[in-house]
Amino acid sequence: MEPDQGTFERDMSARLRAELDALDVSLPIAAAAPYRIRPLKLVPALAMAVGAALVLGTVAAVASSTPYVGQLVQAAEQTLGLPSHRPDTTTVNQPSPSPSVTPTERAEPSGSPESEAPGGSGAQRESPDPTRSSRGSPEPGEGAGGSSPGDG
Amino acid sequence: MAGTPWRAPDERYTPGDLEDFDRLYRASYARIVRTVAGIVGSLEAAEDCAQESFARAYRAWGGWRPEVPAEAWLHRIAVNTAISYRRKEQIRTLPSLLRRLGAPAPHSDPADAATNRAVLPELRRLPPRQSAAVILRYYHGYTNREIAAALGVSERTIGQRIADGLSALRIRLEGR
Repeated sequence: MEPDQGTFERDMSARLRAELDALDVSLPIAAAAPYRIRPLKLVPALAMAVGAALVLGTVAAVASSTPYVGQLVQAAEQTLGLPSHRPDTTTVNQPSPSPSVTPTERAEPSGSPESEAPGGSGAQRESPDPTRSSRGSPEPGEGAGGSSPGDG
Repeated sequence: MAGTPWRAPDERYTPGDLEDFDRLYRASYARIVRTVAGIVGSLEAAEDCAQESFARAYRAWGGWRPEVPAEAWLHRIAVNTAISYRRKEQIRTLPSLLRRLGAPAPHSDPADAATNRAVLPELRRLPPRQSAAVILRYYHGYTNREIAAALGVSERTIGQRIADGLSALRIRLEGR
């Protein structure tokens, strides 16, 4: 190496030391070390994320468990002021009229034979879905049938 | 080489002990900031990086092994933080760098170019690993072996980084 390499190193080292020592460095806060505070910056974001996840999870759970998803959607549309764009939903999500009528129609045929032929087959046609009829008629027919295994 | 030694006589720390970490923080904060300042180029950025480094060190304090001096361990974290800061800064400043391309060079007096040029701005223009090695060697006075142990690389690598850094600095500071 060149003979003045050592001179350069000494000179550069002295200048580097002078420049770095000239920096006014002081501890930010002696009492509360900032390194302990810094991780807390994540807490609000985490709290918001957890809250959002809880809300979304609750909505998803309710929407998936209720049989009246269409009503929920309609209610949300009405709340938001959106025009309802699915008139078909009334047929899909309207189990309430037939179940309230169907049990009574089923209960009556024994007393009125003239209505038995057309009415009995019509009632069965109105509620082909067993789940829908079971939801709609909890009291007379299904209640008696359901209690029979326990009674016997 | 003059400089503060790695291990002060009263340096006794227990991994995971929070009071010890507070003591280490107070004892080494200024030195860590100055090391980082030589890499990132500004005191403000250096203080931010130092805070980040201490936050990382605080989380890892339980895993520190006393075979490695605590301040060397801190320096390793701080140098890595400074290097990643430089990377991010390069990405941030890329658009303005591209705008400056082709523009005339800022006014510079050739008389100032040699001896009056400050070391720190030139140090910042080096690759960050080179500037870190130069600072640890010529500011803190650590040996190549100690630097190698602190940064987790071979002694030969440190020697090469210092030699490269010095020759680049010499060209920029003395024009040869």
